[in-house]
Amino acid sequence: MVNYYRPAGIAEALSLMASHGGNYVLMYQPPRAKHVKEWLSGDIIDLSEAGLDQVSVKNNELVIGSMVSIETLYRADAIRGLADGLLSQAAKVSATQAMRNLATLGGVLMNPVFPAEIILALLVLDAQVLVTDSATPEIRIPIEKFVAEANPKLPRGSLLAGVAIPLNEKLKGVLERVARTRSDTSIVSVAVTADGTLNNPKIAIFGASPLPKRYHAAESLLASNPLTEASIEQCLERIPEDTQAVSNYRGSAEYRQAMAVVLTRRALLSLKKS
Amino acid sequence: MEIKFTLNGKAVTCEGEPSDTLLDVLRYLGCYSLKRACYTGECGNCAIIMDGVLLPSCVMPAPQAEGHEIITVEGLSQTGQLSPIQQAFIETGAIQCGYCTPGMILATQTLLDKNRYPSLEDAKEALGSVLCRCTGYYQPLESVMRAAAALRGEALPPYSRGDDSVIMDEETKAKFSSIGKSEIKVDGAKLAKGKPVFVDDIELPGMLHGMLMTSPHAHARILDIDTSEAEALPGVHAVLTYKNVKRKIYASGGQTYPNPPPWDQVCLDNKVRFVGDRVAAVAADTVELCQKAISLIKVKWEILPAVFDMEESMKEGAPVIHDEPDAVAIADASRNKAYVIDANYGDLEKEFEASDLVVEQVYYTQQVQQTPLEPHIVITWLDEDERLVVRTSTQVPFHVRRIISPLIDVPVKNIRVIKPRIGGGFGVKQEMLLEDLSALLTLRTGRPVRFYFSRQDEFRSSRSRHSDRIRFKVGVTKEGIVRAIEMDMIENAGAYGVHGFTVCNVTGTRGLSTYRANAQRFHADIVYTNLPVPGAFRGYGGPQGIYGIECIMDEVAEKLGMDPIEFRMKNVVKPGEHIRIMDQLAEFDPVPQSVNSYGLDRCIEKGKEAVNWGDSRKESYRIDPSRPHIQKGLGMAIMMHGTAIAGIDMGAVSMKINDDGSFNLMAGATDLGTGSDTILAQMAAEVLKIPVSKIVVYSSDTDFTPFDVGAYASSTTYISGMAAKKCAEAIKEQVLERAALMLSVPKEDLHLAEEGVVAGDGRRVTMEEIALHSLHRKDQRQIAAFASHVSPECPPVFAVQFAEVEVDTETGQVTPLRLVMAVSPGMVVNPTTALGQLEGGQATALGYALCEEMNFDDKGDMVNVRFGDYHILQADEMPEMQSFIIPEPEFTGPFGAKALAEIPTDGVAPAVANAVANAIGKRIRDLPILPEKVWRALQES
Ligand code: FES
Ligand code: FES
Repeated sequence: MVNYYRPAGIAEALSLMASHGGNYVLMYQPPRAKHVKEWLSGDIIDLSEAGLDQVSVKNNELVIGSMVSIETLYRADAIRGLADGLLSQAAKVSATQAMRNLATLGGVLMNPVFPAEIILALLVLDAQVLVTDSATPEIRIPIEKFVAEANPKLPRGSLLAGVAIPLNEKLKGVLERVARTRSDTSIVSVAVTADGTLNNPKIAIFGASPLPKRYHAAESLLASNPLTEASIEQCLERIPEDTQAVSNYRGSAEYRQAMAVVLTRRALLSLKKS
Repeated sequence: MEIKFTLNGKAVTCEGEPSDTLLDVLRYLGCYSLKRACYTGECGNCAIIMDGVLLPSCVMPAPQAEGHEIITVEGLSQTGQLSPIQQAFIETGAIQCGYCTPGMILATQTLLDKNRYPSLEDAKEALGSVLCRCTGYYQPLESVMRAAAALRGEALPPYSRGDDSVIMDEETKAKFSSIGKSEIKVDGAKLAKGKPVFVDDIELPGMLHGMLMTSPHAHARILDIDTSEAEALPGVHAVLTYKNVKRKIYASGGQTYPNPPPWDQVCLDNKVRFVGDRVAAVAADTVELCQKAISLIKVKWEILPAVFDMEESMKEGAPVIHDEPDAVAIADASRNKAYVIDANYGDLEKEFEASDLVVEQVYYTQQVQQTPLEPHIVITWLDEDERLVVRTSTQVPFHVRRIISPLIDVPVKNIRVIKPRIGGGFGVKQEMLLEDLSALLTLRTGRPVRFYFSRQDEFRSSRSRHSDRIRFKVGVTKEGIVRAIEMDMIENAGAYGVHGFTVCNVTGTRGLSTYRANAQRFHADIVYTNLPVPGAFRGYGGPQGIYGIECIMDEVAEKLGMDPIEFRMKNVVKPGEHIRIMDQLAEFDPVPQSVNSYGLDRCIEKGKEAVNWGDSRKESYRIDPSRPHIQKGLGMAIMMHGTAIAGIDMGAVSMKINDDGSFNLMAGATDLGTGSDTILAQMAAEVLKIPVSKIVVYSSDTDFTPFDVGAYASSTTYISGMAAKKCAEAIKEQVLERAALMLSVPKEDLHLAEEGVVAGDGRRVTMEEIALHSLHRKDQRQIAAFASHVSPECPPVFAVQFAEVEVDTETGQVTPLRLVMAVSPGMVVNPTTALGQLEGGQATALGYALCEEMNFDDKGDMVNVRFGDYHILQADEMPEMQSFIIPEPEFTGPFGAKALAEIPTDGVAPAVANAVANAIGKRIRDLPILPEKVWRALQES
């Protein structure tokens, strides 16, 4: 028999978790919904009233709680104002509105593979994942480290509090994707950001490797060069080296690799234009 | 655990475990408006409003409701009054089967609660959460806008887009009182209110759950099956396997007697032929117990080599899929050929030789699923007379009764099949799919059994559309006159041959009937493979044949340097012409067919004007210098689709008068959501000069309604409609006789008008007075009649489809911008429901063109069994759609009507393929037109 709890705050949540040993499930609903039976590996702890559903600005960072819905990620003004609305656009393409209402940022972080646009946006926004446990109010994990596995694990007794994104008013962002149809899940998607001077662009791609990831080698070729068509082409040459595309019915490995290049070019050129 | 929340304004306390979905708990509380359609949160048919937010209740553990405020559609009309949103959905024809309607209405409610002035984009965004397979979304989107205006207090003109789409002269319109009018659907209000009208919406005392154990292997023999542990599990009441079920060969297609060959199925076999095939069936107290029981069944398998490719399957040495000795009429089991079709006329070789240009190409179509939002479900029980009652979501109740009778050893007279409202069919329910097993479980246990398919089962184990390889060869003169057409195809029948021959027959017919030629040849091999079983899918072979012929006609025109429409119109069949290939292509005995009513030339003119044909194909239109990687294209296709099956399809209707002058109309025809109940009422109302509201339609119940073959082959309006007309005419005679008696005037001096009968001298009796007189006063008799109809003809419907697309030349992604269709369906009976048919059909066909495909792994297991992976189009990605209905009355049809439900599925794929070719100068010859295929074609240059 599985029990269901809805703690009224983080402290209550942590103490519930402590009292359950490892035998609990934190219910972060991803945009690719889980069947209810998939939540039943331990007592369910629903964090919807734990105070983790806020979007706020603290210390020049945008802090987004893990129980913030994907719909809020899409609509919140503070998020729309960040990097040309990159995270907001990523949220919009992640699921239908009804599912966006139910799914949370925590659900995305714990299931980063599919759909992956929100993770791509967080990767190029240099987000830090905020984890808390009864001993430490805030542990920061770079997003890149956190999503290095298809099924991120939280240390026992800790919970996902949210993410923190450094605020930079001048940051530009672009999301590009290809899909069978406009509202279908992406075959390949690319997110890029760069600051106002267009230095140090950041590139993240999904669909050309098993996990969404940053393309540091390609980025490095732009780090010390101005963003020109020539430098972009140079950078693009490095993209295939970092891909390990897997074929499926949406697209072959070869196509995915090619699209990683096409969409990155498009995104960088769009940044340059802006 | 105890859960407390507010449901539609009332405090509720109920029991629910975290393992229960909120959807199931709310349905248990009586909210039947919430539909079970996917359980993956991807279709929105189970949507609720919780604290003002739309949520999919199927993926929420029930305790999540604790402390919240939930609204369902039941809460919107608690006083019995329809809300403005419900009213708008009814008026705009946004409700077809109605399965998705509650979700759509709640999505609209949440939008309008926040936004009084929504844009069309806002509406698309809101309805994007709710999948609908019937409507194509435009009428629901109009409902949103109309409801918004109503809620703002604006005066609303009557909804008119249906009427506006009909190009008909005023004189013809004025001839009719009910025909040609956008009558509100007779089932609209109950569907808008989310009433419990579907199969699953009843609870019977002691009802068990039935479940199918399916094969994990594509091809295997069951050497032994041990059910002892499953049977020993408390709460398990019956387990069926090949060991304890009679072996009797049958074909599962809901087709007329005798079922077309081959007959190659038994209820449960000791061999499986595809992943998802039947292995065993269980009945238990709960769904979970069924699952547990299935996990305890031990099967000793002999895994056999499997074959998935239809060409490989015909080769010597390929695994033989049907080696059972009792199969009937398999063409060549040793080569996996279920059936072979040959038809030809004229001297093909001579005509090709005499041609100035011969073009030959191969086209491929893919296997796709009908995906009605309501999966297959049946509830069976024994009534007080120990007769078997089968309440099932079917298009063919009478065929189901006939087919299951010998399988379960119950005579037809002791079986009653009830078809309540059904949540879409599109052909997949033209089948006897679960009814035999559910019935057997009821007979074994003596208890009611609810047997259903999950969405995953629906994808893996129900039916689909055949994939084909079609080679076309066309010979033409340099003036553009077609001399010869050859069509050679292989149809992948999957593991069983049901519908294989008849679908292929239609593919051949539709591939060859549109254009005249001195010689034609058709050859088809219908081939077994170890893939899931195709069957009937709206269009029934037409989409495949028309895709091939309309692509190659475009290619020929291009090679001739001719305008594709001009080339087609030189060769298309004309009124009065005999369609020679149909002399040889038929389900039973061919009946010669000619073109009667036409309308194609008017359709072409209207469509050309709407898309600005001449200018829109020019380079200057196609290329936008500001978006160098985008190229636009415009393509078209001509379609011809039959109406009913000549000499086979039969429908019957009965009517009787009630004391108040209203009538009951009982039809065996099955309204799948298409509005056919309404159309039959309109036909009867037209004859009797009464409002449709005075006719209570009931369909279908094999105990009470007369026989009808069911809903398929675009036959209901034409066949059952004529039965309704004939029946009403017989009633009319009786009404006039009664009025003559009452008024003491000869019958000939009387005529029907305005719900009564009027004499030459102006005296009048109302229909109510006639009813009361005939039932209670003098020479009492029940005014009642019954009529049936079968037609020796299947008059073709003609249409034209245009598609405008944008192609991203770097990624290959094709974005549809606009679909324009013009059709001549004979006389249109109900413009609003007709428009819904056209738009819904085109939406399904657009998915066929661009994305839908059943994909399999190397073991033959379908990998995209979730809606999100398979992807049927959503409201927020629909292109602009414009449809024109151009009536040209058909003299063999009721009030001149033919059909229009299937033809909109025929032309979109070739029109899109031709538009892509127009945009990029490359032809994609296999469906769906995925970005990668376009990209590869572009790489070749
Ligand atoms: S049944 Fe819930 S979203 Fe489909
Ligand atoms: S009306 Fe939408 S699914 Fe049938």
